[in-house]
Amino acid sequence: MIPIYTKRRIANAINLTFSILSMVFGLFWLIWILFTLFEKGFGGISIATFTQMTPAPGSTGGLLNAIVGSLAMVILATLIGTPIGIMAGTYLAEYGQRGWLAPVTRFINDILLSAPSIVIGLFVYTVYVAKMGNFSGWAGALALSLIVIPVVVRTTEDMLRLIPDSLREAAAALGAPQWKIVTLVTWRASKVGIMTGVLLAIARISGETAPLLFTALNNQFWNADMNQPMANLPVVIFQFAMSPYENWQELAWTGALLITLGVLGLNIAARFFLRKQAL
Amino acid sequence: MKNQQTLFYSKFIGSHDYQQPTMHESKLKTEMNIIHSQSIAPKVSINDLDFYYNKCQALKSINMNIWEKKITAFIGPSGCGKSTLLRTFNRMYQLYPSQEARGEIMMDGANILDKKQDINMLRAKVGMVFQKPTPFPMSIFDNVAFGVKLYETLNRNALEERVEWALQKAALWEEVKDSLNQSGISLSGGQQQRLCIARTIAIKPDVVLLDEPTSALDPFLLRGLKT
Repeated sequence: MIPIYTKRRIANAINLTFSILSMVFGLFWLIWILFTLFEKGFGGISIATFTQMTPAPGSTGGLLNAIVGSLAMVILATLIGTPIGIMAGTYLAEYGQRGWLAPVTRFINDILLSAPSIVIGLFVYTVYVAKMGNFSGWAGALALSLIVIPVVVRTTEDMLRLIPDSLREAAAALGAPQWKIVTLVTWRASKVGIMTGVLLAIARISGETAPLLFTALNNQFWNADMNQPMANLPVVIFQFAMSPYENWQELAWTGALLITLGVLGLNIAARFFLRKQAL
Repeated sequence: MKNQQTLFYSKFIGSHDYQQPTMHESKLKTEMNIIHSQSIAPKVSINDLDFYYNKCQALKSINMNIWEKKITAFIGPSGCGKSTLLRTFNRMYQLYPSQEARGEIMMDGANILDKKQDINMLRAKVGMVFQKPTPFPMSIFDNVAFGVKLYETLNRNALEERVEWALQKAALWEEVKDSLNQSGISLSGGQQQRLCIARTIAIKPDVVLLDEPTSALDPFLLRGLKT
């Protein structure tokens, strides 16, 4: 046995062991969380969950109004936040080489990215809810979109920076103006990464409770009017889980499982479709 | 790549002084079977060209003429400024704020370096192939059609003809004619590079700048390309 190989083999074994250990550590908690969710929440899933409104204590009901409210606000927030985020991220990566605007924007975006979500909820409460005089679905969507924007800005910029300059040069060498280089070449090349950023943002806002407490509040009844307080899964889960009523607690578990499955399903679907397109 | 085009060919061969780029034409000329017709005025003339990366001066008062329908090669040691000089002809350096060229490069009676010169029109006229292949993330057909679509409005048939013409000139047609919808990235390194050559000649530029593009091609294919 050559000594240098022995040394390398030992170093390799140590590194491999630590890598596997940290992976096991991470997976352990994830699996425990998923297991608990399924154990407590799966039994509660029935047709009533998707067809009935949130019930009064002690009576039967479902989560329909909360599911619809959550979907409406998450979709709206994504529709508001994604274009702004992608465009700002594109500016930072493709246009912001000179001047002070890009570094300042990047700095502020980083602060926004790490801002506690309850602060964002309070902010929207002050500038929108307090002025309009009532809680509403619009306010909820607005607060969520403020969480989407910094996530999308950051991932878009990072993903565009991964595109080698040689690709931009190649497009420029054919006489393509910069906006065409961006829309036809670099966006396309980083499509998967940018979409992953959007998904990350959707996953993040799907479970946000704090910004909705001060904006959309909650609604026990069916409501499709975005100008009225709106039921949503995170606040329902929060309220029901804290309650002493057993049927409410069970619905809270079911709601938590639904959010998790929704985000998981979205991720798997997006990965599947994006991989297909990327090849 | 017949003789309507002026080619700049930058390739590292030996150590020469970069301030006086060695003309290595005669040898390349016979190799490439290109018939010369000597024109009287130079296609491009460079006067007192200086080039800066930040404060660092990379090119110092370059003066030279480049003739039409001839192949001009820049030869010199690695890092001597061949590519830098080449990249001034289509103002590629302008993508980077810290790079700057001073002086004059006259082409067809206009100064390329003039701020008023439309940079995109210039680049459509002065094509460039890079050292490493850079296929766009789109189909083989779209890769070649990309530049054509920017400045010409061709109907579907004419566009298909142009793409086939360019791919044939780049000696790639036979290999990809049945898979034009496949991604350009799926090709091998050498095929990708020929795709990039096809993409450049598809827009029929007046001048083609080649920055050692054949380092990724094997000699056999090279022969197919040149003839």
